[in-house]
Amino acid sequence: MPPKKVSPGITVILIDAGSNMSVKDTETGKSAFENAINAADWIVSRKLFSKDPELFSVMAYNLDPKEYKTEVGGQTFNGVQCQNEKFTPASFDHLKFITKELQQNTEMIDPNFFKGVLGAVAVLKDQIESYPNPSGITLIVLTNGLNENIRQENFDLLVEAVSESNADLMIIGIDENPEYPASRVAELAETLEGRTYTFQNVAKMLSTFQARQKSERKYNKMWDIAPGIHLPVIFALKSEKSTALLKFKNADSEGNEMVRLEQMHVETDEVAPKDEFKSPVLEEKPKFQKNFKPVENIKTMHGYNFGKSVIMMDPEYLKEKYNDHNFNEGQTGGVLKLIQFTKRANILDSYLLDASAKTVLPALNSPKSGATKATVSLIEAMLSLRVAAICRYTFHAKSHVQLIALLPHQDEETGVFYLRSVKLPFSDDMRTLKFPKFSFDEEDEDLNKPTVAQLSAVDDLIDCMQLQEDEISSLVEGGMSDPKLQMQCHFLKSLVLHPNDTFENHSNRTNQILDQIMAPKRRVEAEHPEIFQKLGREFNLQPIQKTKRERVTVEPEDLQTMISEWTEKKQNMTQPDEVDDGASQKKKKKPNAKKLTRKEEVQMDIMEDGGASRVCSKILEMISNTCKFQPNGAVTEFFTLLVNELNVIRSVFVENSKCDEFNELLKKLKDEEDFEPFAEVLSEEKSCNPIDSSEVSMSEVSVANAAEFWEED
Amino acid sequence: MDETRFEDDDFEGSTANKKYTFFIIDGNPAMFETSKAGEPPEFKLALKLILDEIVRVCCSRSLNNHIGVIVTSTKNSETEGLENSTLLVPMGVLGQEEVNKIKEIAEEENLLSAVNNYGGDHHKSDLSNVLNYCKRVFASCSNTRHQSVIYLTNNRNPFERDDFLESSHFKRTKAAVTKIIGEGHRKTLGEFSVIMLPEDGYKPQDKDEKRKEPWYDLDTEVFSTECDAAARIRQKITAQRSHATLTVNVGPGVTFDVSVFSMVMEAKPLDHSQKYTRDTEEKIVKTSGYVKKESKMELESTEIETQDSVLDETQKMLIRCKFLEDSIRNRRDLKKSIEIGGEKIILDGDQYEYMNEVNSKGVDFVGFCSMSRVDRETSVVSSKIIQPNDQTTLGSTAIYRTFLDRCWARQQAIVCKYQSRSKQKMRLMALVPFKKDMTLIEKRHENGEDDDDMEDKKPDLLRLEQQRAQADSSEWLHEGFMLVGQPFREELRDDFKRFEEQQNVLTEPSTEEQVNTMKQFVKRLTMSYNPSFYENPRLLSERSALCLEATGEELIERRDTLEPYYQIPKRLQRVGTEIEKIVETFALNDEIKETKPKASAGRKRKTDDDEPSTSKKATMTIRDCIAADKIGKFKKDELLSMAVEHCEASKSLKSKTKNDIIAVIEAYLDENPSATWNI
Repeated sequence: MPPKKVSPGITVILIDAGSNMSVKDTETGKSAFENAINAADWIVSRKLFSKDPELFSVMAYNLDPKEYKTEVGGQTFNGVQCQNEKFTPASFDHLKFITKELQQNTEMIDPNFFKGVLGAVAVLKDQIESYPNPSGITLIVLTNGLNENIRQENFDLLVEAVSESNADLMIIGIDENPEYPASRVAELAETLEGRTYTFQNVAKMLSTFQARQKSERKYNKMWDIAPGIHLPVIFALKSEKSTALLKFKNADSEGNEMVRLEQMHVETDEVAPKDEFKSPVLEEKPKFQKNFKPVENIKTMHGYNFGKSVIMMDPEYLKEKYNDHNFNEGQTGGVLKLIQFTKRANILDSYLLDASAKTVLPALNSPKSGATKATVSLIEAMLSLRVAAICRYTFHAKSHVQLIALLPHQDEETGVFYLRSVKLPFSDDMRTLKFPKFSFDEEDEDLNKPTVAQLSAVDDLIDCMQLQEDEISSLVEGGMSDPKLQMQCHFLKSLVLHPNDTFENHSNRTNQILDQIMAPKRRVEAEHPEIFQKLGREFNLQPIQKTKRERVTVEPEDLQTMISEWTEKKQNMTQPDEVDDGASQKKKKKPNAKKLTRKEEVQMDIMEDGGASRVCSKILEMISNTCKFQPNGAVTEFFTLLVNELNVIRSVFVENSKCDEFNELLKKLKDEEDFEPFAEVLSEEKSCNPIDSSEVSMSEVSVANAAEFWEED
Repeated sequence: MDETRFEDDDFEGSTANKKYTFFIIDGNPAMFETSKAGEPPEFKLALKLILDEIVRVCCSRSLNNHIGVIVTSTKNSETEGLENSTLLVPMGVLGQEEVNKIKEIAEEENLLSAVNNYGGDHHKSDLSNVLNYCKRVFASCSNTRHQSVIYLTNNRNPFERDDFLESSHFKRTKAAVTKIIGEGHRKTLGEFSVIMLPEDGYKPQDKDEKRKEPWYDLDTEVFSTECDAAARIRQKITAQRSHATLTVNVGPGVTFDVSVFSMVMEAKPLDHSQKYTRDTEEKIVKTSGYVKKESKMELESTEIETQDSVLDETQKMLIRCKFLEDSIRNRRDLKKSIEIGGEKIILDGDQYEYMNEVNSKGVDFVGFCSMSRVDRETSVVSSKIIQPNDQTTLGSTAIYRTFLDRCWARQQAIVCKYQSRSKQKMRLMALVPFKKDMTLIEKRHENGEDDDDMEDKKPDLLRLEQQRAQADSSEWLHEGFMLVGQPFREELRDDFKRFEEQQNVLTEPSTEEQVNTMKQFVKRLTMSYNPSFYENPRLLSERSALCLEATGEELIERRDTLEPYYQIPKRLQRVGTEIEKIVETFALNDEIKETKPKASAGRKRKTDDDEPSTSKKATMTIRDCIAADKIGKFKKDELLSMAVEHCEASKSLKSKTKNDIIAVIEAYLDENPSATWNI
């Protein structure tokens, strides 16, 4: 008989919505109903965001029997509401029902815990008939049990019904050491070998979202420690940087998934031959035609950079002669071969790479074999001698060889010997850095030696800020959930359920997460503020302040307008000279017939008395206004226009053998703090230097000084 | 599943820091004489050092290294501002041409005449003039740069008097060096270095003796024995830039600034994204865009259907280009969508960014804990070190130093919240202190920390090992706080189930004899380790091929740097006795017999994937096969012949199923632990 196919687990969440749930929690001040709603919400949310296949149905009881009825399997249950009698994976519909549709019944009615539970059991049975053999059956009841008066015969019927359905019973909300009648509900759970929880300890467990389950894969390798000696081991993942905890896809505005489409081609430009007989003034611009050649079936060469030179190499030649630079022996299943042992102390922390760590254990295929015993003994010997093994490693027959270290350990709890594998860097990966030293020989003078008072202040801080055991587990040993996952889940949930408050809710949640991380320090700050005051006094830390300028946040539209105006002027500047000549001739005949180029404008201004100073003052004012804007991409673009304008002015000055006003302008830009953002652009690119004596003979700036003008002092 | 992953290089990009280096070679006549019989002249050694480095630079992915080469003491000089020295290679990104030029000079038999061809006869030159020329070249570059001058000479005192401090030549040179180093600049980093040749020459270590040498006054590392000349040159060329400058928040009113440096960064293979047609060497351009997934699938299926039709390549390409014209070009214009909880949720770029944003840039102290609680092996972030930055907050070095001293003495780590940039992921980090002086550590009161299995319980021995490790790896040891990233819950896996399984199955502990046998083996193969021992064979091979194409000579040797020890005869011989003892102790005799005939034949490394796959399997044993779950891939006939031949099975197995035969083989292997055979 073939084994039965297993269906996903099924769970009914049954919420008490009666008036008894108005009782307030003394600690939090929330009503039992609020706590129940919150707990149910979290149960479903955690399953929803981890994409657990478990199926849910959410129900409520102790509602108005005249208004709410549920019919399951031919039976009618008054005062019971069911979100959906069909079981579905955790969904936002469940959450909407729990948080929005479900209303607490404030009217006094006959309690019907009995009917609620029977209704839930009926729903479970109905589901099991359609999808037999679920992997788990769970009934979760959220109630404080303060209004139940279960008669013995009903008690027995409940026990019989729940037992018959094979459901695991969980009751959430009963106080510890409950009194009658809540004790009656607790007794029911005990009889059925179920579990009871208070809202408090459930809230602790249910306060974070979960990531989706990841596969726990193991990889077999043979560790070659000598010719003919192969030790069977298993690699299992221990730590890995998490990426994309929730799977987002690129999409268009309707939500259709978008993927990348690529086309390879050769691009050439063909210039139409010039017609020599046409008048130069009326000559049309040459037409560029793109000639696409398909290359999909053309053999290609790869271009490598050798410094500034491009070296072309044939990939087929590389594969044939160099095996694509792959030194893998091509052994199926990969290799693990011993290169050397070294003292554990030789594996420095600074060698850690951005790679996953794995746990390595002896394989258990043949636990009695000599090879397995040899593996265990070797790990034990390595641990005793504080030695690590350095090995050649490939994952499979085609991957590139890697260098790994196997570090011996013994588990404290089980006494099991195991290895931890970490990736080691090659010499190419190491960065050759040098730093000032903090240890000094007796001969050397010890700069920055701390005073006794400074050392004492730091010692006090270390004593006060010692983390407690649970804080170490959470912050240091991997006990904390990724804040990014929590933020993403919370944001999406809020977006669906509370679209109007999403951003505000998100900010609050983010701050909660940060506060939770910083809680140990907040406590110390509150209890021992004098320690930080002492540190501040002893070290006298002084941030080197830059004079803060008042930033003006410019509207994108305003900035765009300015850029458009400047772009038009810029285009005028780039007109060909021939057109300029034509315009110049026409100008004599028809004054004001055509706009002057920017260069001509500057030329005319300079020719006037005091014009040079006026031109420089104007550009200075423009730069000053622009520097008041908050830096962003648009301002950077605007700076580029200003630099071009500055160069136009410079060229006009040189043509007219003027220099003093312009050089003075640059000096102001360099020296005054108001212009620092713009000056940084100039000094970075060195695109505009003072006019030196080789350009204008009366200039006081030498060629060498002009070249070094933007150097830092 | 290839697990190779390359870290994003924070330093590269359009705004990366550029590095400018001038090599200055002393052209005095003594550089062309051979100080020892059979040894090449020092000038040739200098060229060799420079050639090695510029080849290394040309083979890197980055084009941010600009290098120039100057030879001093020549009669001619065609460069303005440079007197009696020759600009052999002008400052710039080097390429094939420059490398070959240096290589040709270095290979000349008559080195002096080759150099004279460029610079003419010898003529005394003023080093300060050369340095000032370098200064002007540097000044014409962008301010965010790393400038370095490396002077190679064999002349210990070119200033012609013992009281060199009084020499005007020395004073001018020192002034020029000071300008190049330029203390205090925020964006410009300057260095001056002297390489004394030959490398094994006189190197005083006493401080008073050092002060008598004029070069020591200009470069305090000139007599350093910490690393060789090639490594020193590489240090000078490598830009030392932090990838973040952060504020450390100790508490209210107590903040200081640090710079963050990456100490290890996985090197990437050479970039070959540029492609050219083989025949015409035209550059191939890629156009891409985003289209609907359904549209792309339709397009691909259409192409398949019309594969045999009259449509030629050009028409197919035009169809694709038409699609691309309508596509969204910029990824930023796309939205993000996710289907979860029965809903399809669509986010635009701003919402997506806002969802992930944490505004907590910097380092925030949370608390302290013992260093032993920080598991550095499971860190998911590569190693980084922080150093104080006094340029943004005065007093940073003082407080950093005080924390370092006390945390090291008390073996405490600082737990903190860390975010290097506003868009980066916020992480929990531990600041782990390190100083080279182990004697500063205060003794612990808890004796239970010692591992009972340790052969020696002496703390002194442990410190001796650590000090020896420091000597082995001094170039990679840096004092200060190291940032160790702590994994989040989702990034860790629990080992408990696996340990429990091991505990239940492996019930017999190892005997003392077994462990001792392994200890002898381990001791014989314990050697020092330094990352510079092992180069990446893949990158080495790439550079070798590139050099061969660029210069016609294999300047970089291609080799497999990760050989197992037993392929090196001396090392295998060292543990020959121990291997025999292991085989005897663990009853591995049959395995050796099976392997010996094959070992004597010698092993060939197969690099051609076209070989029949059966030859690959020839290197496996049956136990390898079972461990790798490959046993099921054999045919029933093959399994049957194995069982009959090796497992003493009867031929009646033929009527059984394939799984039954596998079970018989596995049962036999369990009962006979030493049995094995090659397949």
